[in-house]
Amino acid sequence: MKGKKSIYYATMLVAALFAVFPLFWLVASSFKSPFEWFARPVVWIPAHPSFDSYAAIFGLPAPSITVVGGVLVPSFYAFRNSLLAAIGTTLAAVAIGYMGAYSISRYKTGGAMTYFFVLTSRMLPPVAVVIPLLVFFQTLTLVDTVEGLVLIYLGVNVAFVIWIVRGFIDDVPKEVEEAAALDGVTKWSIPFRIILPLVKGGLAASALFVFILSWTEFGIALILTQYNSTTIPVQLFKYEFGGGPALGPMAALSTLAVIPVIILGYIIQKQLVKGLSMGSIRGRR
Amino acid sequence: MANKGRTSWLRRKFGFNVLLVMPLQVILNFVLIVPFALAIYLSLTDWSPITGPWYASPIIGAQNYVSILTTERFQQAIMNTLVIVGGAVTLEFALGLVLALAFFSWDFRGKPIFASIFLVPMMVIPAISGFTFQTIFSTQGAINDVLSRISGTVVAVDWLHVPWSALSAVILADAWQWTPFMFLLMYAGMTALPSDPIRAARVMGASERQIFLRIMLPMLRPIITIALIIRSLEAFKIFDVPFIMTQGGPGTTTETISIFLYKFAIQFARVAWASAGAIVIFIAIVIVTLWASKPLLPKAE
Repeated sequence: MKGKKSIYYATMLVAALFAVFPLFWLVASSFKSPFEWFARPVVWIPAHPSFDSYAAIFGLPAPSITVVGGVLVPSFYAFRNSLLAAIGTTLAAVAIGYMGAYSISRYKTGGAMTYFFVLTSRMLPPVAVVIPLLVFFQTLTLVDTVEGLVLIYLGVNVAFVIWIVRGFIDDVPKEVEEAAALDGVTKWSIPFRIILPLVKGGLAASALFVFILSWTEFGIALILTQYNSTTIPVQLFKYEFGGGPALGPMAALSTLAVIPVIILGYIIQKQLVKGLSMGSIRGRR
Repeated sequence: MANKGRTSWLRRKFGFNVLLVMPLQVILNFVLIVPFALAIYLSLTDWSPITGPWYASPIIGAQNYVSILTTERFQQAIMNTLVIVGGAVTLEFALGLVLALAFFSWDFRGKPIFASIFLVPMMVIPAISGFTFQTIFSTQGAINDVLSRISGTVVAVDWLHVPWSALSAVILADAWQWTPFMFLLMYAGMTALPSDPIRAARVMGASERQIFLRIMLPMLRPIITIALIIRSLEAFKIFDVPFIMTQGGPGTTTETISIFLYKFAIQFARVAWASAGAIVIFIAIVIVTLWASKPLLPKAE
């Protein structure tokens, strides 16, 4: 029996090691000084952690990193743009998606194909819509703006809100609404005052999911945001150091971009797990 | 019977439900449907941003479609994508299922902690995991270092510039990121199974293997199908990871459909031609998804 237990723990530890190793490698790289970046044999854990990479990405003095040709632009703007894009998309997607999900769940709006139709939005190769959108955005002067980015992210990610939240709304018994209606709650208030508080968990999960998707998006941002509205993933590849990639600053920016999401994910892990499994176990109806 | 009055109370709400989906409809129209319609139109012209306004471009019919379907590089991009989707989704599914089964049937402490750790890769930005794996597989990266230490000689393979290993590295990076998703869905599916049939089978003397193969697996089929469809759909559009790790190289050996379309539409400004490719791919995805989800749709309710 004892031997069996240790096999269990060993398996889990190996799996856990695989799960966190790339992250460890990333964080360790962010504390290396330039001569350790590409050193052989590899410096696994820098003996004297250097904070220069972090200083460099925010334009602070970083003695060990000589900036070549001023390519290393401060990243405040990238953080601001990513944050605005992600928060804007999340708020709008949850609001619009919730109303849509309520309508689809309670009134079967649009019939059986609505659901598939919404999911179709995840099947479009982004390039197929981004190029024509560039044409529109040029007329509407939305190219290279955070607003334009939010609009596109909203379109491609709102499906996830529907997918997750609908299962939660399906789970609320019809009687709840009927009782509220008898109490004189108007039809407009029911989804917002009665149902909304009951599906908070699903909304939180879908909000986090959309936040992560917009915070991490790369391909669309690469096409649409070259100068004024650069987001973190695009900014990452603007760091150069003597002609090659600036490994330290890239790792530092990556670490700063990834850690908040992991913490956020940990905080609402329960809702996230429930939301995702709900979407797939029940959401297909 | 008493419900009759209430049902009609719901019915009278017609109009309200349409208002609720209106914002969703507007957004999807503006961001997806209208641009997609425009993409179809453009694919029938020979427009490129350098030839002037799009509406002034003459319609040339299906030429772009014929041309892109017979382009070898496009066919290779499809093959590469299929290999990556097949490899990555299979790996994710196998690992996720095994891990979920271990989690479900083994009795050990600290499950919540392990679960939190397993979910970490899912939270990492794909562009960043691409960058991280690029440095891990680089000549001065972790893989070569470990191999050097084990073998005692200096190993300096440029993994991302050898076709087979570049492709494997891309698959591995995607599998690392999305195995947690499979694990999550499979584990959720297992915990949602009714416990009676499993217990009954155990009482009747079925082995654990029989229980898994004959009872759990068939009952898990719907969620397995959903998980595979979702992951395949997303993996089919894979762009960030291979673009960052290899830019589609060496040569075009890791060039996926998305990278191909990006290169031709944006870098080479062959918008009309690339649009035709995007539409072909979209239609193929819709057909395959409809076919794959067929066993799920009629069983509803």
